[in-house]
Amino acid sequence: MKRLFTVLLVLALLVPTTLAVADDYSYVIGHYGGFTGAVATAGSNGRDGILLAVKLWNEKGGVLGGQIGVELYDDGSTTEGAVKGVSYLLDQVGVDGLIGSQLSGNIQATGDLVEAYQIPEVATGMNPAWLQKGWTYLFRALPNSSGGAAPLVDAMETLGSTKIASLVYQDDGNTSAYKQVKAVIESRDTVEIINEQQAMVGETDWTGALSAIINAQPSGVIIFAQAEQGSLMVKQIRNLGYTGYIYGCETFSSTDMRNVAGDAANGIVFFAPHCVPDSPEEGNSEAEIAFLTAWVEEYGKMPISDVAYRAFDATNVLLTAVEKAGTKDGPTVRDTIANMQIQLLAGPADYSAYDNGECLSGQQIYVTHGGKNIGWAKYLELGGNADTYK
Amino acid sequence: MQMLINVLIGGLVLGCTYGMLALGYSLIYQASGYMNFTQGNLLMFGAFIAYQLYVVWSIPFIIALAGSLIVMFFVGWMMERFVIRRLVRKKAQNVYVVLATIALSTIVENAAMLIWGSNMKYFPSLYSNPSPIKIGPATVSKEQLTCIVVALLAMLLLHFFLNKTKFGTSMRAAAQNKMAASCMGINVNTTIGTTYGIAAVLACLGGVLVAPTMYVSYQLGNNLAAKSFAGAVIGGYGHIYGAIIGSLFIGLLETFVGAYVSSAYKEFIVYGVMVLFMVLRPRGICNANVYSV
Repeated sequence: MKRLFTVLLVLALLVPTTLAVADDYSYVIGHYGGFTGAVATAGSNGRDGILLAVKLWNEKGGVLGGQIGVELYDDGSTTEGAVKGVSYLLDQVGVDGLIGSQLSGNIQATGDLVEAYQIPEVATGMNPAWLQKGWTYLFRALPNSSGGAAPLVDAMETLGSTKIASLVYQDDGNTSAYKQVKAVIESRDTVEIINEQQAMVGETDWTGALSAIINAQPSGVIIFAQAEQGSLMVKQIRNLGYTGYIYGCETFSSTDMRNVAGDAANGIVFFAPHCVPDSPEEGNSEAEIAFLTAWVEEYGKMPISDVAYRAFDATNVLLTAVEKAGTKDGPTVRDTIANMQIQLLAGPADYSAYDNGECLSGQQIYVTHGGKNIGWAKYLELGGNADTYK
Repeated sequence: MQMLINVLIGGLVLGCTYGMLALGYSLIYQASGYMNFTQGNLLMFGAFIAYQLYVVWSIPFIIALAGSLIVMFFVGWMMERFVIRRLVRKKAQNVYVVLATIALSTIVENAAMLIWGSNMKYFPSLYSNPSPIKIGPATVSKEQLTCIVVALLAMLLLHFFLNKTKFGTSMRAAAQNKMAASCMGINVNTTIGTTYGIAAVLACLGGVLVAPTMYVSYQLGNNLAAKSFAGAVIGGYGHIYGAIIGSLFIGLLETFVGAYVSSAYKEFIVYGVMVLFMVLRPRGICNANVYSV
């Protein structure tokens, strides 16, 4: 019995693990992302954004005369997982196009592989670095994080946060975003960084670092982290008695920030390409309202992370390019994207205006106030109530 | 002064949380002689059960807490009854028992993810007025103080149970010498199963205490388990009071290093201290019996 079981197990392992995906669909999109692990919330929203976009395209007839397939790989939010995932998608499945992770470190780790296979990839991370490596098959469907640094420092000046302390989660995206903000601060004489702390990957308590920050008596605190960790940091710093403004990055647009941190989230000022509202009707454009309505219809609730928007846009970029090119040939689709203008949820994108895969610049500033994320202009209209956050 | 108070209280809260897990490690090791790596994920699972009862089903908190403790007792008891005991009966080597606990831990983690999803869940404050309390110049949340008080109470109750009750005495007897205890009419299997159940209850209590100050997520246990283990080792692995002392030491060390040295070196120093203890004083602070002679 044991021998029979062993034989059956070996036979099962020898059976090809991929079904005839290429035969069933006219175009197959691969996606590697963190559906589990440190950024599971955002990663799952990214996956769902792709699936929704593909569903809407398939309802309209698909592309190249057939339906579009999706092959997913959970990289566990790790770099080694991403490398394995991209290898699997390109080598074993043979996908025609890729939608990349939102973790910039994972995109960078797999860039050479994607370039070698000549498969176009539209990734959803915000670090400018991976589009400065010279890879020609890599694209982005949103503005990179460098577009948020100057507006955020402008907001610090407006709100009187001239002495800044910082706590930065030590992953690629957050450290890179912080460097950009720090560069803008150092290029001006208006704001001073008086204390810097680092949050290591895997930690859940920052009492020591946050106590040191409060002891430095800053008038504003920068917290750059993923939503899972950022929400805790915000909660902990408020519990320690800090009542001033907190300056964050795009991960703070996640609804988890307000769900987990609760009232502690009020007074967060952050930059983001998108900000998920509380209901579809609160969307900032007709396209966003339509996207959110379709999302709620499909998944029963609003997205939690703006990665949903990024992935939806990225999928539309790739499929629009395939449709325009009339082929799934990698180099042809790549060249089509590079010369394309397209309206995205992130705004009017023009790849031809850049020579490195970018398509948009600039980020919006939002403030969490009264339990809601509101635009910067609207917050100022309300009085820009600096007295509330002291 | 404010900073010192905040760091002290933060360290005590962390230490108490680690202590709830470390007590489980030491209890099980003392009772059965095996290391158990399920404690972290049992903390997480217990927090999820409490979340389901209190938040999703709106059951009053005390009843939800009691319910989750009872459920987790049986989870721990069943792990021992259906997995660990079978391996021990087959005279499996220690490493296989340890591997089994690692596998069980992964199963629990994935079960939580499949049942409740990968999103973080918000566990509301236990108080209708969650405003923090002022202690001198410092500000402390009510949940943090509750965590310290409840954790210390749990440890005192455990001490009372082990030393002043008949069953607690038989648990200690079985832990010292299973053969002799069995000869004296003590049901060794029941006492070991109960020990695993109590360890799971402690983990669950730790999860419920920490959930309002953090969130409930399938990754919650993994983040706490490693340092709890370090606390148990530093205190003296298998020593009940050592588990508490070691965990408090780790919690305070972590927060003081983060505040007064650098948060970048926190992990490095904490685990470095653990290794130093293992090399220079393997019996730990409380002189546990760690040599197989």
